Amino acid sequence: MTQPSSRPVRYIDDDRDLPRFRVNRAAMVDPDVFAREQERIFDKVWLYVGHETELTKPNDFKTRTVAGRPLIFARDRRGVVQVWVNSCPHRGAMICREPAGNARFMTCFYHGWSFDTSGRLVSVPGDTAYGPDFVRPGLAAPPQVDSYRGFVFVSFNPDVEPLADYLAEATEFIDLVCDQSESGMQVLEGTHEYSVKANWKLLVENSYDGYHAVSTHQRYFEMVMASGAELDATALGDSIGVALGNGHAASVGGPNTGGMFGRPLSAAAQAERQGRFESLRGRHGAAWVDRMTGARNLVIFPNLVIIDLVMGVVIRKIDPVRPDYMEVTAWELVPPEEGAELRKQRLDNFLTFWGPGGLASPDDVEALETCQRSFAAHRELPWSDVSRGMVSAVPLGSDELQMRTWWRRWNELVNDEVLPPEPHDPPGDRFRGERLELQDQGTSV
Amino acid sequence: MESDVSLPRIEPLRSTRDLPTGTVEVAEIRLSGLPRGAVLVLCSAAGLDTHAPELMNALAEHGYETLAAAPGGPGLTEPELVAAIDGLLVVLTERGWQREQVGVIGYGEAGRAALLAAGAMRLGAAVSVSPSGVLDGPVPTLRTPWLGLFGELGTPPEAVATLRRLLADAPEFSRLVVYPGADADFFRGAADALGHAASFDSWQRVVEWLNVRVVPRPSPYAELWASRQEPKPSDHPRQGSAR
Repeated sequence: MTQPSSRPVRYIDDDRDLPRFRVNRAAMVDPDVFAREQERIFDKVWLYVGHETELTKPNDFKTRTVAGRPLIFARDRRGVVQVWVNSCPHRGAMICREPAGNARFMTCFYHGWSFDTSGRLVSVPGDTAYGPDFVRPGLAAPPQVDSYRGFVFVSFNPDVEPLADYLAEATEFIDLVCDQSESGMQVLEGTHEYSVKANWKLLVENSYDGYHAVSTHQRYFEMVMASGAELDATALGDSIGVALGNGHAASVGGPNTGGMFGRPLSAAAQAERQGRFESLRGRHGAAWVDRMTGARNLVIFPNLVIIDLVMGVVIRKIDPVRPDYMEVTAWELVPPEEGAELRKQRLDNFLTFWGPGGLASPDDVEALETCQRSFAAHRELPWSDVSRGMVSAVPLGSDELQMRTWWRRWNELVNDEVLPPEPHDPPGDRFRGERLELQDQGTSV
Repeated sequence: MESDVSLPRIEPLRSTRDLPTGTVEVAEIRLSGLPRGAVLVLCSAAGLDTHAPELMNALAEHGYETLAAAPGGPGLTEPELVAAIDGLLVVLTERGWQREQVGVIGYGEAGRAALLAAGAMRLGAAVSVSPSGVLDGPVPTLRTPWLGLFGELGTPPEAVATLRRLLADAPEFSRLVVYPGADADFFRGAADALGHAASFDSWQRVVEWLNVRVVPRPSPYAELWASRQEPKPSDHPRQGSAR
């Protein structure tokens, strides 16, 4: 009998000579890897919890799970966004068992301790039994909470770097989304919630994988064509992949690729959309708005996805639950001032493409679940290839620079191995137009 | 308001109060110990003898002291109505209740008074049950979270939609509930299924609306604890800097 090898598993094969980039499929199935991800990634970095516009009134709240922790995402009586651990400091029961609502006070149903949305303990039934010197605990909070342009993040690492530093160059792509409304983009009420029997990292890869679009989503494109759209296939190639620092990356389409995939807008809706972009040119400059009209699939490491495609903006939060199971929550971000007809068509495209019962997301889920099932053979077939575009001077959106960027950061955190970034030429000017401050605006970190 | 637990009935104390708008009769239930909060019940003059005592006892079971009154007769202007409510709140202030520790519930014609109070004052919570004059009058800017409960019969859906739209931009939270198949007396209970469901659900909503919004009166130990806390520049615990 041969003894099992005690050699440590190598998860990333980043060969710059061939060149070739491979990911060991053990990373998708191994419970030890999953545990290390929780400890070294989710306990250490900034994680998305929600958008400020989900909390419109004082004492509005949503309950969320972030890094496995149950949280209360709330706007307190004074209008300040707060994040609390959803657990009674008394004996642990969840303070809030509703997914959303409005309440100034939340009372633990176990022993009746009551807290306000500022986290203070306001009443304890029969408190004389605790004596006059009892230290009354408030709700616990993640050690760090911060936001960038309405996107609220938490970190369970007290020593985490400032959020703006963490987001690095990804802020530019968040700006491209947020600048689409003069009054501020707004998350619509309601969510898409679904689960996938696959490792969470597969959906990260999929979220900015331009290569799979035509093959996996053939049925969707046939529907779009049947609805009268003229799909310019060359536009699919009008894209780049960019690394944005700290593991963040995006696939980015050229000007006017943002609405490319959706069912065609009506003439009136198209005119309104064009008019909106034209008015923004006077606000931010033509070069910036040209970029704004392009598609972008952005992943903020590790699990926040912001996709501006199919005439809509989806925010997607990916939650690992087990090595072979994830939960996904998605929201739609819209300019609140747009007209009813444009909104209707935006939502139609949102539902048709991104909906859990739409014509695209189920295809992705099916693809990822078959990947996961096949990873049962990871010892016989250990490597997945993520090399596409390593040889490109400027990688395309259909290349795989985005995934490699993410995996290198993952490898650095999980395995303490730092791999150098890939050298590529800078993208063309069309992808580098700067945002001009042509009019006063209330946008700040 | 039915309870499985048989508690002794409390007979409300009756008296009169001089308000800026005249003298009104009031009913009170005062509780010993540490009551949860206080509720001002606004009803018709007749309701003070019929519906109010039962309602006040039901609120007492949830820990609320109550003061019930018919805030004004016909012909009162809206500012006069608000002044009358303000005068009634003084009675509760004399009992040591701060305004955020008080909820207001208005029934029928007094339902509009509860909405006006929600616009004029910063109270713990406000509820209008089967209110008249709310769907066709001006809507105040809310300063207090407001719950409106309506029976479907006789309630124009377009008026409800308009009210909902007007309240959407208010600085305070509100909710409108319309009970299908129910008439304006839905809160009194009925033998038929829809009527019974409306009665049961509306009472549950009223109590929950109060419980999650009316500031609880602090216990002596809670006050002691609060007095020991260092004053802070902001009374919010640390959260993100970029707000």
